[in-house]
Parts: sequence; C-alpha cells; structure tokens
Amino acid sequence: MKDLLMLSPIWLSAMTGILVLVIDLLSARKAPRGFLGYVTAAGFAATGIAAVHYWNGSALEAPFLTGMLALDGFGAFFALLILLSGAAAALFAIDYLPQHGSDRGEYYALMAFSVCGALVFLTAVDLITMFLGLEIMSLSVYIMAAMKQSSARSTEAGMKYFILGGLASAFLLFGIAFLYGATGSLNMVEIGRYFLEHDPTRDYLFPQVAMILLVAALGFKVAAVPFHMWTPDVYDGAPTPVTVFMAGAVKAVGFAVLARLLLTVYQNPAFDEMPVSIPGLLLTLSILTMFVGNILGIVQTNVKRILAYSSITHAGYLLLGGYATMGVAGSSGASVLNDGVPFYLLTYVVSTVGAFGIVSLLGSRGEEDMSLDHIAGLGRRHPVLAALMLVCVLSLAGVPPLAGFMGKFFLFREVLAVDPNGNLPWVVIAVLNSFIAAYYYLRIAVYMYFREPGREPVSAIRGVPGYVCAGIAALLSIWIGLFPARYIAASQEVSRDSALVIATTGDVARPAASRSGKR
Amino acid sequence: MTGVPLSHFLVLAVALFTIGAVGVVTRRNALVALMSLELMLNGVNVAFLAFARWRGDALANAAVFIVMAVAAAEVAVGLALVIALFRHNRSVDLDEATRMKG
Amino acid sequence: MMDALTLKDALFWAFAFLTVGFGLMVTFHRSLVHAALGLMGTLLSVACIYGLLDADFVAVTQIIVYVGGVLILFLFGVFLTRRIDDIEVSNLSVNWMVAVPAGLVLLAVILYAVISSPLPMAPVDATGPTVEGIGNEFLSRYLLPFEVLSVILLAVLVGALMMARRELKPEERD
Repeated sequence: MKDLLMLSPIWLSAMTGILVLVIDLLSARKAPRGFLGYVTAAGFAATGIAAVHYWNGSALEAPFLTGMLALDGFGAFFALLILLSGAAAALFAIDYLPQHGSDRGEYYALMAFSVCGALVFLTAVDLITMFLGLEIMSLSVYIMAAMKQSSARSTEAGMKYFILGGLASAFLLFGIAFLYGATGSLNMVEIGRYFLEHDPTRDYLFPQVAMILLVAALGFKVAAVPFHMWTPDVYDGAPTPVTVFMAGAVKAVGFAVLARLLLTVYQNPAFDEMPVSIPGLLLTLSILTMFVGNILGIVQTNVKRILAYSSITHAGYLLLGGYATMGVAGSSGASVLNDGVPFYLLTYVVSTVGAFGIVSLLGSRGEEDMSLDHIAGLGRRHPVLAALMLVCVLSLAGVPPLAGFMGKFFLFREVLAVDPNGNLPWVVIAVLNSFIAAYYYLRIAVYMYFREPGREPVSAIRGVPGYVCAGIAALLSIWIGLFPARYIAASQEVSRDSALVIATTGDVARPAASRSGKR
Repeated sequence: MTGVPLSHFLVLAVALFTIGAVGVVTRRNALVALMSLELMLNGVNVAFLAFARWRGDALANAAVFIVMAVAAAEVAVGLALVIALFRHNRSVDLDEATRMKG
Repeated sequence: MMDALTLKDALFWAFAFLTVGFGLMVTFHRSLVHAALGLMGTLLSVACIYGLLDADFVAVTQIIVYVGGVLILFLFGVFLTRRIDDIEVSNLSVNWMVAVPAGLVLLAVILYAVISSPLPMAPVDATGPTVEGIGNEFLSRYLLPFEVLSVILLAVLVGALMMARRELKPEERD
C-alpha cells in the first residue's frame, strides 16, 4: 500500500492519459477537444501534490521494487518542473490547436504519457527502466512535434527530432551496455558501488567510453552544443505548446538525469584521472554551448528561433554548474550537484515556458510565421501580451530584479564558491555571454515597443487559459526574483540528494549533509 | 562452449553500431536512416548478450528483450512519421525538406 | 572437442562477415529495396550470432519480432513511399565526407577500449535454455520495467494511429 502511494505520481500521470483517451472516445466526434486540456492539467496538479507529499526518500518495500526507483526530494523538485511545463503545454494548447486546425484529443493523452515517461526517466535507478522512461517521453514528443498535419514544417520537425533522438537513445543504450560490461550490473547504485570497491581506472576503459556515450546522449536531450543541431528547427517547426514542453520539461529532466547518473556512477574520485574527465568534458561543452548558442542567436530573425538559441545558451550556463560540483563532508569524496543548478533551472523553466507560451498565443491562423517584423508594434496592439512577454524575455536575459537574474547571480556565485581562483575565468566568460545574449533579448523588446507594425500586424488568440498561464509565468518570474530565499533553500536541499548514497562495505552511514571541503 | 573470445563479439557489436551511426547521419532517405537506427540497436544488443554470456546472467537477456520491444515501437512511430512526411513532400528525402536550415 | 571449437569459430566468422556485409549494404546501397533486403540479412545473421551466444530465447524473438514484424513494416514503408516507376531511388548522401571519418574515429576509440581492456577469456559454463531465467527476471527484478513497457506500447499505439488517421477539416467540424 505504501509502495502504491509512493508510486502514485507515476501511475496518476499515466491514468490521466488513459482518462483523457476514454473521454476523447466518448465525446462527440466533432466537438472541440479543449476541455481535455483542463482534465490533463488537473491530473498533473494531482500528480504534483502526490509527488511533493510522498517522495521523501524512503525506500520502496516490495522486493521487486527495491532499488529500482529513487523517490526523493530531488525527484520531487524536478517532477514539479516537469509537471509545470506539462500543465502549461496542455493549457496553451486549448486555444492553440483549434486555431491551427489540429484539435485532437490524443495530444492531451500523449502529453500525459510523456510526463509519465519523464517521471520514470527522472526517478529510475535501474538503467533499463531509465531508458524506458526516456523512450516513453521522447516517442510521445516526436509524435506531438509532428502532429500539425497541415504544416509540412511540423512533420519535418518531428522526423528530424525522431532521427536524432533515436541516435541519442542508441548512444545511451550503448553506454549502458559498456557499464554493464564493466560491472555486471544494470543498477546505478550497484555500478557506483562496484567502481568504489574496485579501482576502476587502472583496468578498464569501459567506464570512460560509457561516460562519453552517456554525456553525448543526454547532451542531445538538453541541446548542448555539438549535439544541438536539431534544436532550432524542431523548436521552430513543432506546434508551439509542444515547444513549451521540450524547452521546459525535457531540458530540466535531461539535466537532472545527467547529474544523478554521473554523480552516482562515477562517485569514485579516482575517475578524475580518466583521460577525458567528467569536469573537463562538461566545461568544454559548457563554453562551446554558450558561445555557439549566442553567436547563432544574434543573427536570427524569427522569435521562435531566437528563443531556441536562447535555450541552447542556457544549457551552457547550466553545464558550467554541472562542471563545478561540490564536495560533501564526511563522505568518501563523493560530490554533489552545484546547488545553483536546480534554482537556475527553476527560473529558466518558468521564464522560457512563459515566453514560448506567449508565442503560441501570437500565431495567426494556420501556418505561423513568427519573424521579428511580425511582432513589431505588439506593445500597442496587444499591450497585455507584450508586457508579459517583456517580463519573461527580460528574465531570460537576466535583468535584475527578475528571476533569471537571481538564477544567474546565485549560480555564478556558487560556481565561484567552489574554487574562487580556478573558476574565475569561466564565470567571467559566462557573464560576458549574458551580456552578448542581452542583445537578442532586447531586440525582441525593441521590436515589440519601438517599431511600427508591418503591413500584416500580428493577431493574437484570445483565450482565457493561455492568458492565465502566461500571466502566472510572468508573475512567477517577478516573484522568484524578488523573494528567492525559499527557492534557494529548496535548491540547496535538492542538490544534496543529487548523488544517490551508496553504502559500501565499511562505510554504511549516510554522510552528513553539511558542506565543507572544496568550498 | 565457444572458442571465440569476448572481444570478437564486442568488435562485431561496435562495427554494427558504427555502421548504423554513419548511416543515420549520412543517408538522406528517412527510411534508410530508420533502418540504420535498427542496426545500431542490434549492435547494442550483441554487446549486451556477449557480456551476459561471459557472466552467465539472465538479466541482460531480459534487458535485450525490452530493447527489442522498444525498437519495434520506435519503428512504428518512425514509419508513421515517414508516411506523414511523404504526404507533404511526395518524397522522403531529408534534404528535400528544405523549409528549414539549421 | 577440437572439431566443435573450430566449427563454432567458423560459424562466428561467417555470421560476423554476413552481419557486417549486410549492414554495409543497408547503409551504402543506393537502392531502397536493396537496403531493406540488407536489413533482413543483418537481422537474420545477428539472430544466428545470438544463437552462438547461447541466447536461444532472444534469438527466436529476434526472428519473430524483427524479421517477422519490423521488416514487414519497413517493406510497407518502402512500397508506400516509393513511386512505382523509379525503382532506383537515389539516396547517396552529401555529408559522408564528414560522417565516415567521424564514424571511423568512434570505431577506433571504442575498439581501442575493447582491445586494451583485460576481458575474461572464458565464458561461464553454458546454463542451458535461458527462457526460465528471463521469465524469472520479468516476474521479479524486472517486473517494473515490464509494466512500464506497456505504457510505451500504449503511447505509440495512440500516436501512430493519430499520425496515420486523416484529420477532420475545419469545415467538416462546423
């Protein structure tokens, strides 16, 4: 019974999907399907409450569940980010889909399945279960990205995402196979324990190859730079509510799994001696991602593509946080995720969901073309939407006192705190990049407020759920920026859980959570 | 008992995986890209089973079974997308999909 | 005993070459139908490799699921999307100048890892049919993934049907 309650977020989200399917089947063929968005959002709300309530880190009791899932505060925090993006994607779709001629109930069911997959992906300790979660999430997203059948760009986006996503899945699986080959286990914790008990670097190159394959696979999901090619096309071509989900939930869960996987499996400090070490690889990816995302972002003239490159750049900042792991006192050199990362993800998800969501409200009928000229004069024609968009975009740019600024400030401060001298150049690069990025964010603002509307001024969908969602996103962007203390505290707590505790022989106790050492 | 060493099986697995990866990246035809994905997954499965054989472990067999099921699901989705793409373009050439450029 | 060893060796080499050869045919042959045939060859040879690895259940599943199911889907795909009149649908690639070297580097790196790692030389003794072991895993350690798998199948079923079904036009929807 306790297991059932602890698993409730996972089955609640799957049940939401099934419920939506059944209601879709029972309602009249020609009736609008928008109300299913509310059903989905309600299901996600219940899921979120269950996750916060039940995911407290206690172990599952049934023998077949022991060690399969880690349901703890780390999971609950990222589950909330996933569910927020998912609910927003469902609510924005209520008015978007009919406008674009693909008002289908299946969208909401797939959204629920995708969230269910993301939750499995997030919490899985068993690597095959993790792969299954990834596939549920991804396959649903591929289909949703391609579901606007009137638009060839949407179909191409789905196809492109599918091919490259399939490549990423295969890489992930091959990495898992090498970890299995090195250790004989498919369980993150057992693999980590094996590596702690046997000196891993002397004998085996398998963990090294596996690490590169895993980082490449998850790099695809979070759109880090050598693996980012799909991002602008897919974000641009997919129906915008799906983009909301991809830019929010998929990226957040990708980072969460990347952190947990690397920190748990490669817990042995000896791994720093690998030819390609994890911090080195993440730092390289981070700097590449920041620069490439920004430079390509500057030349874009389409709002969706600008936001896509913005999302790539944010992955760069987050990877910098992933590079600067922190030590935990009392443990055998185990390190945890930098505590700036969860908070940064929160601010990023809130603002980016708002920004993409507002873009979804702006598209005119049928084929949407969100060039900058198209949004010229938005400030006069749709002052409310323009104001909300301004808040979200400025938050993404990191303008004080909005959430994005607090996220950057706290993340960079924590990265510096880990190693004040060594990390200074990287933080300077990141700050520099924030200034470069400000250019294209401000460009959106300038076009909205200081340009005359073009010949074909943009029309906006008038829908209550979308406006409410966008309003909430903008309000949160302000609120978190003004009163960040609670969220920062949560972020610090969450990052302590990022590495799963491995009880090795002789050192069974959970290490004390107070931080020292490298700080 | 086979006289073939583990490394031979692994080399085969890696070769299959690499051929598939090159195919996915280079081939313009969406169907061939999809087939190449299957090659990659088969390479992974060979690696899994080879490791399992040398450890005498049934778990990896179960894992391979799951990977196969997922691969079949992937193909179903992929072909649905291919058909949808064909409806628009009358072609499944990924390069002819020129409406977007990275 | 010696004879048995060399026979297995010979079988391995034969199937390994078939696998790689058919794999290259999938990736590099110009014709779509040939690629599909190459895929069939690869899948069958891989099934035989599974047999050599004593994975009897998986080998049979490979034939049933892949050759019997997936390949038929592919053939449907090939015939549905190919114009009947041009049989040789050209699908030579453009960026192979980059991809082939990159693939070779990947191959070399992983091969280096495989060859320079001290692997156990002798496999554990053959344990007989694997069906019972797999069944046990699915009902004990792997019950959860097995259940989660059903969500994938449901999602894919719904999604593929949605993609395939024609959408209601706005005027039909009134």
